[in-house]
Amino acid sequence: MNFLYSDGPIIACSTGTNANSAMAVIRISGFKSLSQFKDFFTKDLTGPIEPRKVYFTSLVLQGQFIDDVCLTFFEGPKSYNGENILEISVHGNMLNVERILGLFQSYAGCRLASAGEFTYRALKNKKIDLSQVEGLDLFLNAQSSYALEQGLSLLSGNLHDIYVELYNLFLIHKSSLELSIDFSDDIGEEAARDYYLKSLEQFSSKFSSLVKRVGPMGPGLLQPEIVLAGLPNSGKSSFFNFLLSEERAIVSSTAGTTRDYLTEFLKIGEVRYKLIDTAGIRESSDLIEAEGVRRSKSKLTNAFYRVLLINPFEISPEFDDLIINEFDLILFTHSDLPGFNEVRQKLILKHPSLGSIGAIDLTRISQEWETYFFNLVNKKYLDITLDKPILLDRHKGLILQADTILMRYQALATTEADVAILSHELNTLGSCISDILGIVSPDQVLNSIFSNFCIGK
Amino acid sequence: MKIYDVLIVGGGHAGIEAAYIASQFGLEVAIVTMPGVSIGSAPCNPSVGGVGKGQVVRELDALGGLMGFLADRAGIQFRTLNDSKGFAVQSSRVQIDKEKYSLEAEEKIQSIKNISVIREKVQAITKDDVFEIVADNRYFAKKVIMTVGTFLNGKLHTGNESTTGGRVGCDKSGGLSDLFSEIKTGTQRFKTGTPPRLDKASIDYSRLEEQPSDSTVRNFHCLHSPYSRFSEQVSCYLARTNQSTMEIIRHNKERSPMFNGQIKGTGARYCPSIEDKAFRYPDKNIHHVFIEPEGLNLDTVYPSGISSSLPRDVQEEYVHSIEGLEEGKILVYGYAVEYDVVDTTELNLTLEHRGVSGLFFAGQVNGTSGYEEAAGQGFIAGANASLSILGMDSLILNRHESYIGVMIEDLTSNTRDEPYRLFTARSENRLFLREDNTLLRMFPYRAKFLLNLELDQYQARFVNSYETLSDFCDETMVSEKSPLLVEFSGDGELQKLTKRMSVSEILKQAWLNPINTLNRILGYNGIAIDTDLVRAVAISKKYDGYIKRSSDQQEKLKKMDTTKINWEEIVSSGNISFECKQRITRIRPETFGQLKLIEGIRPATLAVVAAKAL
Repeated sequence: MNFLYSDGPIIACSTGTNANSAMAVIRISGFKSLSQFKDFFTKDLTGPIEPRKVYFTSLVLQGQFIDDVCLTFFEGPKSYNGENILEISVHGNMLNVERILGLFQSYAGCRLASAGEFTYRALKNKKIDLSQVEGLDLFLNAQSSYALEQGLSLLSGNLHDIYVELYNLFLIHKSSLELSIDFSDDIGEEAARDYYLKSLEQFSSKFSSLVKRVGPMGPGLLQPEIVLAGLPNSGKSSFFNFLLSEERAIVSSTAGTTRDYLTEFLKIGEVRYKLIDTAGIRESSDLIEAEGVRRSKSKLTNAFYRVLLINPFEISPEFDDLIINEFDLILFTHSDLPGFNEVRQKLILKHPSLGSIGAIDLTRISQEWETYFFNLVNKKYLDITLDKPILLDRHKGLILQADTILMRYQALATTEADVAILSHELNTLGSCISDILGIVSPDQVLNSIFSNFCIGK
Repeated sequence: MKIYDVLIVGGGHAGIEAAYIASQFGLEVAIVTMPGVSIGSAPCNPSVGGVGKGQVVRELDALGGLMGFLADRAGIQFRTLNDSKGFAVQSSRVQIDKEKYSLEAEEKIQSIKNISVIREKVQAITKDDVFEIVADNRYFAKKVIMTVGTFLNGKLHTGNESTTGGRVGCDKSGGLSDLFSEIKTGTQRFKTGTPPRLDKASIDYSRLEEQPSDSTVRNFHCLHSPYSRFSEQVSCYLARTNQSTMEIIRHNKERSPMFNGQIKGTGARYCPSIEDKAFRYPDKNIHHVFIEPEGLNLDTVYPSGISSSLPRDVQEEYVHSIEGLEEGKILVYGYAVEYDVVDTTELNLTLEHRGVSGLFFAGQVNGTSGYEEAAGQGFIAGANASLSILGMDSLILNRHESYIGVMIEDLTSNTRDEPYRLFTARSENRLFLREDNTLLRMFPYRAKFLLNLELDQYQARFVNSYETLSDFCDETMVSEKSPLLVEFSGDGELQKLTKRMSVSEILKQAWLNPINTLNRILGYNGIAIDTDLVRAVAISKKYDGYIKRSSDQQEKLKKMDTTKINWEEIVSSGNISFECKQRITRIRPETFGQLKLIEGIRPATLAVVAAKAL
């Protein structure tokens, strides 16, 4: 994210401009003084305006009435992003909102904000840190109540506190090492060593509890996907339609009808899943279909819940490749056809891993079966989120990276006498930890030395 | 009318370095110093060097400075700090005989024909074509260097008594604005303190831990024979405070000028007085107190660690509570001094004032603490004043190559709210900024002075031999059959050396002391080489991999950081916030690195500048 243009006042409608509604909230951020908007309101803005108090007034342009509005002034730096913010609640007709946005752009020197720019300014003004920005994003775009919760947790709650605490513990450890270099005479060799080991222990025990919360990579939980996989004509699309109760995918008995994957949203429990009907896995000479097949494969690896559908009457050589993947549920289709039990049995004998699975008849699928399927998916979700896994890939990646470095460093801490080399290794760990929060500051180490340790001449 | 080339106000550690380097260029130099204050005196701790500071003294020495020479001559106890912690963080420290140090300084300066020492108090300085310095007489100079230490509006405190003065028994000077109508005085005042001095005969040394002088510490001055000593060697002693010491101080909080509001200046957190320690760390009662001799013929010792401005009776009481100091007799009471400091963001990287060309500031007046920091700045100011008279390129040390460079950049790119002291932690390149390779790091800078003194000839030979020995290590292969490999193998399974490898590779092995190893290899081949060379090459080889790794990362940054920028252009461009413009206008950064160091500069501003400049 790079906002390379001017830092002047920006304006946006915070409640969206896609539909008419009773009211809309327009925000202006980053202006120097309220009085620069004095010509637009009947309320006298050059007089005292109390921050965080709502004023009812009229919005006017060159004396002409535009709308009745409510004004709230948030004075920087005590505002969301540290800048002066003016919030204007207007009537939420789309045309009205657009007209007002235009008015402030043409006559008051405001510029339309880019996506995320209000928050970017909050980051820039150190009102929030990077992990909080991510938390906000997670919160605003959450697809499940768990993601919502973690978004909040990152924004102002527990997870953010853990990161901050981890970072502080790192600083304390880092400064204990610096202390033993620059001030060992002042505090004594033994005390320095003691600080060093104790602070390393504190850091690593905190860190190890965080590592446990790192699940597999990929969007898995953040945007959980249910993927239907199978060879062509295995009944994926029929199953897809059944779950959504509508004719979304084109169902036909010609293999290869679904060339690319189709997606729809499906709410199970408190989670909004993306349901994906993949193209049938088949070596295809059709270029478009081949691309669809490739994408299907990658969809499988990232999925939260994988369903394999098997039509035991039509097994092609690609089947061997397909069943290498792990599946949460395997369904046999076409059970209404004669000889089903025999071909099914033969297939299971050939591939014993398919053994313990039931079969369903898609022509006679029942409401009970749907409930059963939903329960399976929901249970998996609840099981996984029980341990409060971390959702964001960037965080997971950094934590795992830090974990590897920490292991190497801990081994070194007991064998390496050269403190400068230790410190060199510790710096690589530090950049991982500070990257999580998006902060880098060398002075913080020195500050930490002085606030935690006693030194002097 | 005689016009001096360089006139220095103040004869402390900064002043004499400035004078000494200027004299090497053959310029006419004057030191104007307060009557009654001796040259190169050490009013606080009686030592030179220390962690990070040892490197500064050696850097100075390699550049042609004076401090290393004087410290060796006056040195009465030598130590290597961080001896067991690896070569990169090892630093030398020398306890000096203060009296002798000052006498050596006087003698050295007096012996230089083109330095005049004028003992008068400066009243005013004005600038027309040249500077006019009004003291008892009038003097004229092309360049003026202010190294006035703690004398600007100096004020001393002991308990509720406060007097004016730059240090105990000395006059103060006026404020900067009194001297210089063109410069507005910074509003900032700093505070520093010094402990009571004890009668050395009144201490029971048998109850303290002895720290004898270490004969294996190399002298600072590179032309001195490495391990010879010029003075009798004595020991330091370690004492410790206890619960009753700290309680005495805590009971007298309201009598401490630091806590009752009498002192307004800000002291350094890393140089806290004993009052600071008592109140800042209420749970800790044991603090180290080093008993350091102040001179062979002086009666006083310096108890390092208990600096204080408490009233005299409290000082008596807490000193006597310390084991071994029960009978300790205080000869000079501890005091704190408050003084005006210059806003160093008004200086450029040569330490010249941006508002008044030809006027330089160096030393404690710039808000630093420590003799070494002062000397380093004095040298930079003196060298640059001289170079500009001679029309030569300025001396700007890169922060990745020297601690002095780190300090100058830190000073000129930010205002501080406490005195500045060098730590190794301030450097991003600690593995490279070592004592052993100082000559190599500084040689390219010194060589640009185009001088051909004994020092220059020695350094050229050293650097040449270094390269020869370094190539020898890279190119000489030790065969898998050599008994040396068995000898150098460690105990662990992975520590067995069985393959043919170069000498350099052997020196990298973690379990080997590289110096002993290289000595052994050279001895095995019947070669005898200067110990300084062996040390420098062996340690460089050991750290080679680490330095390469971090320098690869730093190379990009360094290239970016040293890129010159035009701050005026940046400020006049429309893309930058008002607040950033204000900060940039105040600091006037010359490089991208300096711009980055400015507090509160926005990432967006950096991005704009980077996109344009790089």
